[in-house]
Amino acid sequence: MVTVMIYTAFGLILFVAFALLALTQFPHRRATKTPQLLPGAALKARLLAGLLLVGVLIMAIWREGGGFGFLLWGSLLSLSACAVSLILGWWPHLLALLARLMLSLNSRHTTVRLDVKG
Amino acid sequence: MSRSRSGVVARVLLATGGAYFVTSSTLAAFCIVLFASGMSRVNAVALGTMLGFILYLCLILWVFSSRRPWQVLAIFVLVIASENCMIFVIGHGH
Amino acid sequence: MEQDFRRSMGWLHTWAGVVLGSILFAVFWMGTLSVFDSEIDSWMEPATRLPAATSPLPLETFRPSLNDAIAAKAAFWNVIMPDDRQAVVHVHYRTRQKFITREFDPVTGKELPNSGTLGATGFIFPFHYTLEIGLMNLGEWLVGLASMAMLALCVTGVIIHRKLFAEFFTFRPTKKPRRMLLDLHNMAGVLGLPFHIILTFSGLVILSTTYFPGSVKAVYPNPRGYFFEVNGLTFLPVKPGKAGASVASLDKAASYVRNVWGGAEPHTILVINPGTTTSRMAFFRESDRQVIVDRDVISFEGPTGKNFSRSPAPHPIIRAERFLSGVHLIQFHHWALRWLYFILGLGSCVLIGTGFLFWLETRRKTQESTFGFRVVEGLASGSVTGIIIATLVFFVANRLLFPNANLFGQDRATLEIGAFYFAWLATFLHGWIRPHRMWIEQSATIGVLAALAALLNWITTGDHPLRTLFHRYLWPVAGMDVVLLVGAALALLTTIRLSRRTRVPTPLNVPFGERL
Repeated sequence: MVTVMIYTAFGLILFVAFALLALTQFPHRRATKTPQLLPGAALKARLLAGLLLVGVLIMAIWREGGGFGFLLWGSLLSLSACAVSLILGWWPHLLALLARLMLSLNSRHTTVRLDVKG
Repeated sequence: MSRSRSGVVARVLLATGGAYFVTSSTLAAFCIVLFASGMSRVNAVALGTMLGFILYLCLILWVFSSRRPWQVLAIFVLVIASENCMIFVIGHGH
Repeated sequence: MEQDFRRSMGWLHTWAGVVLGSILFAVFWMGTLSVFDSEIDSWMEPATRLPAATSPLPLETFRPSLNDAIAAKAAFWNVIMPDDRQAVVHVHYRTRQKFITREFDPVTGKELPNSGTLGATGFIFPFHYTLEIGLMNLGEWLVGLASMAMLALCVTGVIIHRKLFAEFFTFRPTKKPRRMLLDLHNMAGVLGLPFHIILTFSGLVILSTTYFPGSVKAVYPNPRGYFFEVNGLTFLPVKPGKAGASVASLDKAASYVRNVWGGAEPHTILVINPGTTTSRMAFFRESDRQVIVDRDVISFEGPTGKNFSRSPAPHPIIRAERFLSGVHLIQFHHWALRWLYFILGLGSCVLIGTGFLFWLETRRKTQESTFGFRVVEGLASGSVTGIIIATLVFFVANRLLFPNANLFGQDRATLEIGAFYFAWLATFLHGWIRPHRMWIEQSATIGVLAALAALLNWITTGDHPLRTLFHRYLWPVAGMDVVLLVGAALALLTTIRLSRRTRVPTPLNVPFGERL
């Protein structure tokens, strides 16, 4: 049971990481009806996503050993990225909350509300 | 790339057959060289076959992307001939 | 120049895909099912649905079958001990005429009745890499060609993808079918790319000596030498000896082996040339807690049970090779990874299927009546939905045929295979005859057959999902039934959506003047 929860957690973290990456892109922000990020914030979001991806790899290898950990990470990577794509395609509003949260990455000095284009 | 029927057939043959024979004889030569330079036979073959598929893939892509398939054919023939000569000369030590 | 390169790569992608897509789909579909081969076996062979034994049986229990093998002058005899995927003990030996498999109850040691099926390990798994074409290894060569094409397709697919990163997560289900198909194709391809490449490459590496025998012949006087050396089986090639010798106590040797391994159990016990003076027995350690196929083998002289030898620790290059084979063969026990492999394998099937459909959709308006289009359409239906239908017919036939069924002199196992090929051929013909309704009708057939298979399992064995889910040892059966039922639901849902789409004429097709 613990194992199930840990694997689910790995999957969820990867899902969040990919969602962060996707939500730095204009079409997906438009789909979630949130304003665009500033370039600096997008970079921060991507760095955070990268950290999460690497973090799960390290945790998976630490828990499962080199072989299993790497395979588990690699296959969860594909699945969670697919999950992000499908959710953005069918129910983008589910990711609206995360997209709005990401706005706080816009640094305070230059908070400019950009209108949603198109 | 040329869309003429004979051109397409020539490329497909060159990519599947020609590239296969280049890979095969390169692998044989590679294994012989590694074995002659002190690597154990089993390691030489295992390493060679793993790299062989990558070489084959590159050759296939080259055949289809090249503008002058005749040039590719000439190079293939040259490589196969020289490698087989090499195998014939040093490859009978086992 | 760059445009030209891209166009030639696009050409290669299209035509390699259309020409070899059928073989690729068959290989990936059968490979995906092989992920759960033992589980499918226990579904297809109800007699083997047994609770796991708490302690292994003594090896001497199987002595009678060893004696049978000796009497039949078998080249080898082996026992495969039960593990957590497979409850029963398997004994195999090869006589002059054929390969014999016998199954034993893990608790009592009694022999189980002949299952009368090849199951997944006997049909689906070999189909995955030989297409069941034995003639001159033709099947293996076709699979090799298709695999090389798959690698080329992966690379060219990335090259011709115009917006790899910009459309990394793009899936637009509301757009036109053609656009949606391409999105789905890109998504399955790009996001599953590591899986497609690694699995295709490792599959090629496993069969590398078939494809490049020249490299082995260049350095080995006897090409079989490489096989024995790379697999750590150098004890295997033995000279033929005189008949009439016995095989020493297997249990004594096994207890010695356990000591050497610090308590680890042997998973396979093999006797080469049993009953001759030069026979050898070998013990293979279980290696299901790691990815790498770690062949730690201890062998003895058969008649005396003495003169112990152990396979050497492999060199890093060999370890790399065995890691790749391990990644492909999934002999390890890791249920989460097994399910992930299964889902990713289905993703590869989606990739190939949508590739076919996209080819058809882009040409439907301009070339629908041409011969080439019709050929690809029939081919696509037979090789995508057709092989799924054929597999389901195989399962249904397995549950419908009586234990000792015999028709036209063919035994039960052959009849099941016959049903598979008959159904497969029928789907090609169906796709050819009814091009407009084939997807709807075939997907409805999938739904009905999958549900029927699960239902027949319940009727013929009494193991319905509610029962199987509550018994740990019946989980393989439960898993199979649940996958069948989910598959049936998805197929029927697809049928409904497809038939709704064909019934409602899309307004775009109506010429402008007639709209009012």
